Amino acid sequence: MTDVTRRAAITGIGATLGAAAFAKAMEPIQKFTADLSLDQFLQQHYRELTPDEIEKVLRRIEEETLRDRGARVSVADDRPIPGVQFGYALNLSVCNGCRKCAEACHQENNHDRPSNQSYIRVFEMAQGSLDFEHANTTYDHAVPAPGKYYMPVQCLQCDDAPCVAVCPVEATWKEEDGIVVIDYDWCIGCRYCEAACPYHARRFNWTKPEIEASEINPDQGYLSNRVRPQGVVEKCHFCLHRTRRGKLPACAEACPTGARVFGNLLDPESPIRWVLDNKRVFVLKEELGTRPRFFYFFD
Amino acid sequence: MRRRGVRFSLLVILPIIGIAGPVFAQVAAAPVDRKLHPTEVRNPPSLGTLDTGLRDPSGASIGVACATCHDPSHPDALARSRDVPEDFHAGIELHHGTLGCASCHAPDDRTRLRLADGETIPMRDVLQLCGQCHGPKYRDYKRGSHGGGRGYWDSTRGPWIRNNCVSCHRAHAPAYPVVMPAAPPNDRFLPIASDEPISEGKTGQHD
Amino acid sequence: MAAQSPSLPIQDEDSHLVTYPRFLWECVKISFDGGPLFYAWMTALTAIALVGANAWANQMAEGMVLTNMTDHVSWGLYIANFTFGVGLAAGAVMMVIPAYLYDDREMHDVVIVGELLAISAIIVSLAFVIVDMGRPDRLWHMIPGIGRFHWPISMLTWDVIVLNGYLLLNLHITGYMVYSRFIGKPLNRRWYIPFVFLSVVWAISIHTVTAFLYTGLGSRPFWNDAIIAPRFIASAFVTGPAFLIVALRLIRRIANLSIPDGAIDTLTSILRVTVWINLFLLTSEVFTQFYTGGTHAAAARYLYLGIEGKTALVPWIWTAIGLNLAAAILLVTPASRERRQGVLLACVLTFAGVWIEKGMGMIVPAFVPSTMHELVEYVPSLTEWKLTAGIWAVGIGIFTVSVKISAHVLTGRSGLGKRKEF
Repeated sequence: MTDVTRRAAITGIGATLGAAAFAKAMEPIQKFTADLSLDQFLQQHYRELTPDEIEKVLRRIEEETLRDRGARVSVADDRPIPGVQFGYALNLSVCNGCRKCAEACHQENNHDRPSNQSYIRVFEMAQGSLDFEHANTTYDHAVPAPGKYYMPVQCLQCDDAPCVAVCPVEATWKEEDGIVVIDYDWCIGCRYCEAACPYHARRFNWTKPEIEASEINPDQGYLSNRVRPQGVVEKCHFCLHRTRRGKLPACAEACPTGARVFGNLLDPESPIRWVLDNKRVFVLKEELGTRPRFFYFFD
Repeated sequence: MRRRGVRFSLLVILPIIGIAGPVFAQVAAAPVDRKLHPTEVRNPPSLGTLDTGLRDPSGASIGVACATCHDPSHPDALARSRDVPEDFHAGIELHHGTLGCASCHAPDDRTRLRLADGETIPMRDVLQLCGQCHGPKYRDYKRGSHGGGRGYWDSTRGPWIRNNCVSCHRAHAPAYPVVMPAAPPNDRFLPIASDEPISEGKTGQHD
Repeated sequence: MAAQSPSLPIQDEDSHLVTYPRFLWECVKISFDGGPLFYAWMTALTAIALVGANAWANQMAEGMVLTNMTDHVSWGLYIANFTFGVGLAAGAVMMVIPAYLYDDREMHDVVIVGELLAISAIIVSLAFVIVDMGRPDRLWHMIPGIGRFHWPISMLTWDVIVLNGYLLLNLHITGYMVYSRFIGKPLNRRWYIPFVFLSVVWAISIHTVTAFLYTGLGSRPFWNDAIIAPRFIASAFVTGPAFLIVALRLIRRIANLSIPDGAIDTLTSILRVTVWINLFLLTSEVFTQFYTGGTHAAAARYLYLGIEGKTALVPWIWTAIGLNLAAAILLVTPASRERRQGVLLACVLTFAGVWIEKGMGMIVPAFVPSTMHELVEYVPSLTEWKLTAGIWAVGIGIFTVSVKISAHVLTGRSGLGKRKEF
């Protein structure tokens, strides 16, 4: 009997110590849970929210941005404009690889500062080749360099988007105007979309984005450039907080060579339509059948 | 039998078109009634001026108008040679094909430009002047695929503010300059490319 | 091992509401009871698991930046281990097939070890998926009805279904067998035979669906390849038997459970064939990639030879090939048929070989070069190694404890009824 009691006591002490050690080991997670409000945890999928609920969510995000980052911002929920299908075309004959588009994206979309994140990567390509095997994105010399041409790549807003298909929770989808969006509050961070995208268009928030309050662009959208949470995927959204209000995307405005042509594919008088109808146009990796909305052309 | 059916359906369809036509026309016409914001073309302040090399407190370069020296009422001969003019125009480097000064500037009115047929136009109509030679570019510009700009893609909501030829190209040396790019991405484990890729190593055959 | 719990008095009409909680309590008691070796083993596993737990807590707090994954190599050691774990779980079916399809009596007696391995390996796989997620707090988004389950379009949702289904199937089969033995009632075939046969098909499905996760991606030529699913199944049938041969020998020595030689011999015969099939499929893959060449073979070139002086995976894959080839040769050497050490060594070698080949050699190269041919290499970080060790420790702990419970109950050392022949 005493043997059994002693055994039970040892087991009990062992179990208690084990539990205590486990609690201690898991302690750092408090930093994560402290950031997580109950409202945020229970929030429904964007497309299931009523207008009232969306309003509450937008105000909550504004409050959180003020509290966590000390920046006063306004977060809007811009919806697609009926009768508008966005398209984008880029003139490879004039692009000089200056990365002003990537820089404008970085600033417009409140990207993480230390990683100099941007939705646009500019590939320095070898003339005579469309093979990215001979390309380079981290060049840091005067452009255009001899024997090179430049190919900025961002999300192509595919009509048959592999990233949308693979998402297990429908956190990413194609909107009526053709923009593929992400609900940053619904994404579970599995990165299957990142594996599925043929264009390296998606980015993951490996850490909580770092950005000075003074540098935060206060003009924000729920599905676009609000400061993203840690652990979710993001990507180019054609600056929908601008373009759905009729403005040009930040990268198009920033381009000093006028290589970027943006507009409504349904408007026969639009510059984008003229380019598609009259220029030598191609899309990236057409053979994959993703049907991009982003076109490249030559003069 | 079938023919009678066709005729019958025509009888039905025609009046419908008759009624619906004007209605559709009205609907289709509706957007036209909306106020469109006209496209604006930027006229850079430097147009028709010569850079003095000085800068104002905001950092913008100070130009001096052609008419400051060239009195339009006292025409003087314009240099015919392609040598860089001396004195005041010494800063001008002409790298524009085989053009000389008089190719574009009106000999007898320095505030105006001269088209190929001799007609003179104001400086702000520089697009028309450039368009004489750069036809395809001019066409592309007119269709919105060259020259860029900012503002609105949707003219029902705001203006599209477009660049002028000389917003981006220097008239005397229009080739786009070589520039330093903005900072490259700072990805983990992807070092900045060493500055040698211009050499043939990376561009040539890949194993 | 003095865990002779006295047979408790029982009435035949006791309902399951009474006996099942007793069964669970007995399971807990057995789990915490054992000799010095058991305590030392479990303490070591717990310690490793705690290191893993701490690494996960830190990763949650600081972000996935503590891993060495990047936007270029967005899956790494975790998904590699997930894939391997699924294979191990599927491979366990190599005991179920002889036992039930071929009515191998000797295998039948120990088939539960295979099913317990399946359970442990599935738990390990699911844990690896969860630690790979940026937002595990949002796991509920995947629950059908409450969240938004993107079924049937997303292959990941299929994987969720088949993995959890396989887990439940095996929990039911083993739970029913052990519980029935515990209360001393004979097994009702209707309650487990259909599930056993379902589990055979299901085992194939879990690894096929897991392969489809990768092969369905047109973006990655290295994966977009019909041979991956057969390769996964072949290598699963290498790791399952290899693990089980070693485990059965250990159980025979340590636990008081008789393991018939016939079972181990059957598994060895299976392994002798599957290691070669696995190597054959690998060769087919290598030939196709290298003979064709071109950009589509860039990942294979990187894996086997390295590109532009970047060779991080080259030692891994050649080690894997070396291990698998050594094991394959060892298993057909006549000497190995007589000496069991040779077979044991072959099991360990090929287990390690497949772990590399299917993990670092299968997941990582699909990302190098990236879809846009950027060359970013990947070497797992310390956090990733800690978490990986921790999860495997948990899995091995679950396997140990569940085998111990089963051994206790099936040999009649614990139970409500009288000892009966099983």
